[in-house]
Amino acid sequence: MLNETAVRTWITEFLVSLTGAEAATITGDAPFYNLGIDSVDAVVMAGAMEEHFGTEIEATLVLRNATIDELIADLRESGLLS
Amino acid sequence: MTPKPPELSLIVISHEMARELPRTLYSLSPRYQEGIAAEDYEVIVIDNGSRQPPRAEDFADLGLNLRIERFADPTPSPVRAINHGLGLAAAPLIGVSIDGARMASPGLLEACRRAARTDPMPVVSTLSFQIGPGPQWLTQQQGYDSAWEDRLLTGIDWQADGYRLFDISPFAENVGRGWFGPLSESNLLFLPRALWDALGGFDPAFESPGGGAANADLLWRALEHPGTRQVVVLGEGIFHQIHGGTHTNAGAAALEVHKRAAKEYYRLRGRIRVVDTERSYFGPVSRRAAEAYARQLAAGQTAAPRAVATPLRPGPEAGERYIDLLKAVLLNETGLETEVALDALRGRKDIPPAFWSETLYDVPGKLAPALAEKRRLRAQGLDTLTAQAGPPLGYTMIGRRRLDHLQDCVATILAEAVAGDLMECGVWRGGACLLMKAMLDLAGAQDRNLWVADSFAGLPPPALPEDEGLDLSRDHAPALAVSQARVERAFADFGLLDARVRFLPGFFADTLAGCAVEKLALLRLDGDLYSSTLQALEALYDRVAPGGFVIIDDYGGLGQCALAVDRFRAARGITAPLGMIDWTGAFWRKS
Repeated sequence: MLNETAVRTWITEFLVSLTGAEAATITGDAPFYNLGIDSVDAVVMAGAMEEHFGTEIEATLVLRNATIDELIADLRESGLLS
Repeated sequence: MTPKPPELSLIVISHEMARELPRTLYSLSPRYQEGIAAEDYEVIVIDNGSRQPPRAEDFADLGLNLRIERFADPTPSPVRAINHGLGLAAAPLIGVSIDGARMASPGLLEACRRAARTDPMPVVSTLSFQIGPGPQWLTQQQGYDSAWEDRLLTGIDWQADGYRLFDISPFAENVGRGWFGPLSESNLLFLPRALWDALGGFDPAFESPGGGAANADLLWRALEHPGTRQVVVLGEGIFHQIHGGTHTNAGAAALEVHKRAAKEYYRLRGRIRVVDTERSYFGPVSRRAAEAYARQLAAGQTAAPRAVATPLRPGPEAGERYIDLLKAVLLNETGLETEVALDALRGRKDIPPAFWSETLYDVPGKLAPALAEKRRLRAQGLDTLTAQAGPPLGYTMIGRRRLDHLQDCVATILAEAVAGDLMECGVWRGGACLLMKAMLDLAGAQDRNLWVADSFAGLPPPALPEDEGLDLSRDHAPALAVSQARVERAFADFGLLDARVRFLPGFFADTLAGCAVEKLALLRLDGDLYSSTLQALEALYDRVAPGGFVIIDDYGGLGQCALAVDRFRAARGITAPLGMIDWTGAFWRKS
C-alpha cells in the first residue's frame, strides 16, 4: 500500500529533478503539461515510480491524469493508496 | 608503406537487419557520403547475434573501409558488443550507432568531423528521425510496415539525393524538448577516444533488450564529464528504418518497454534528470541540406513575408490573393489557436476556470509549444496521425503542401489547355474541391465541370482481404462522414455553388463506372481504401486526357491505397513516373 504523503513528496522531488522547476510551482492542481511534462516523460515517471515504491505502476498512470491530484485519486480508486 | 590511420571510426551494431543494413552501409559509403574520402574513415559493424550475420564481402562494391565482426557473446542488450567495437577502433574520433537500422544523410560524416574540430573535448550529437508518416511505434499499429517503407524510399530515389529522406521522415524523435532543447539521446554520436576511455564506454549494467536507456545514459555521462561540450550537428540527420526492434518498433508494447527502460535507469542512477548543458550548434553545411531541412523543420513555423505588401485592390494581384486567402481558410490556418485551445481540453475531467478567462484568449502565451506543433502538423497535413487530436476543423485535412500542389496542377491545366473536367473522389468537407472550383471561376473556365464524388456517409466497411483491418466506416470514424448538404452549403458559403458543380453521391462501386463524366484533366483520389482506390482508377482512368493529372492522396500514408495504385499501374503498363508530393501524397501525369 502506498502512502499519499510519500507519493506526493516523491512526485514533487522527481519533477523538480526532471524539469528544474521550483518545488513551489508543483502544486496538486498544476497540469503536468504546464510543467513541461510530455508523454515520454509521463511514461518515464511511471517507470521511476515503480522502481522507487516497489509496486507495479501502469505505464499510462501519469499519461491518463492531468494533475497530481487526479493521479492520487486514480491510485486510490485502483486500491493502491491507503 | 603503412596506410595512414583513419580520422573517424564508426561502430554500427546490427542484429537481424538483413533488409536494413545494406541501406545503412550504402548511406555510410563513399559512394554516397560527400566531402569525406574513403581513406578518412572506417566503419566497424559488430553483429550482435543475428542468425545469419552479414558478411563484408557482400558489401565490397561500396568502396567502404569496412570490417564486420561477429560478437562472440551476444546478449539482448547491445552494450557489450559496442564496447567490443570501441576496442577495435583505430581513429582518434570514434562514433557509435547503437542501431544499425539508421541511415545517414549525405553530409553526416563530414559534418561530424568538422563539428568535432570546434571543441577540444566535443560530444558530437546528431538528430534522429523516423521514416514514414509518424512515430513508428504508433504508425506500425496503423499498418506501417517494411513494404510501405520500401515504397516511400523508392519514391524519393534516396541514393540520388539522400536529403530527400527528410521529406518522408517528418517525425524527429530526439527533440522532444524542442529543436534547441536538450536532446533525449543521440542515436549516432562521436566522442574523442580519450573521452570514451574516461567514461569506460557504455555501461554494461544496462541489460534491457536493445540497451534500454544505455544510450541516453552515455550521452548524459559524457555531458556531465568535466571539460566536455555538446556540439549538435544540424542540417544532417539519421533516419530509422522499421525493423521490429525492441524499442522504436515496440508497437502497442512501447509504453511498457519505455517504462521498464526508465525503471532500469532509475535503479542504476537513483534519479532521472535530463542533462541540459550549454551547447554549440554546427551546420547546416550544404545548400541541398539546408533546403530540405528548412522545408521539413520550418514548415508552418514562420509566416512567409510577401515581397511587397500593398493594400488589396482590384487588379491582377487580387485573384492571387483571393486564392491565398481561400487556402488559408480551407486549412483553418487562421483558426489554429481555437483548435489548440480545444485540444487542451481533450480528455480532461474538469475544465479549470482559467481556461475561459485566460487560456482561450492567450493561446500563443499559454499553449505556445502546442500551437507551434499544430502549425507544423497543418503545414504537412499530419493532423490525422496525431494521437492527441482529431481531424482539423477546416475544410480539408490534406495540409499546405498538397493544397499548394493541387493549385499548381490546376494552374498547369489552365495554362496548357489540357482538356476535361476536374474531379475528386472522396471529398470529406470539400476543401480541395472548393479550391479547384475557385480557380476555374477565377479563370472564367465556363466549359469545365467539377465532379464531387463521395458516399457523403463515410467510408464503406472493408470488404476485400486487402483492406482487412482498415475500418474507417461511420461507426468507427464518424468524423469522416460528411453529408452532401453540408458540402453543398460550403460551396454556397464561398459563393462557388453553380450548375457546373456536379455531385455524385453513393459508394464508388455504384456511381463511378456509369457516371456522365466524359473527359478529365485532373482526377484526385482520396478514398483511403484499396477497394475505393482501385474502383476509381478502373472506372475513370481511361477518361483522363493526355497531359492530365492523377493525384493519390494516401499513397504514402496507407499501404492499402498504395497497393491498389501499384497493381493498377503494373496491370496497365503505366510508366509515367510517380512522384511524391509530401510524405503521403503522390501523383503522375498521363502521357
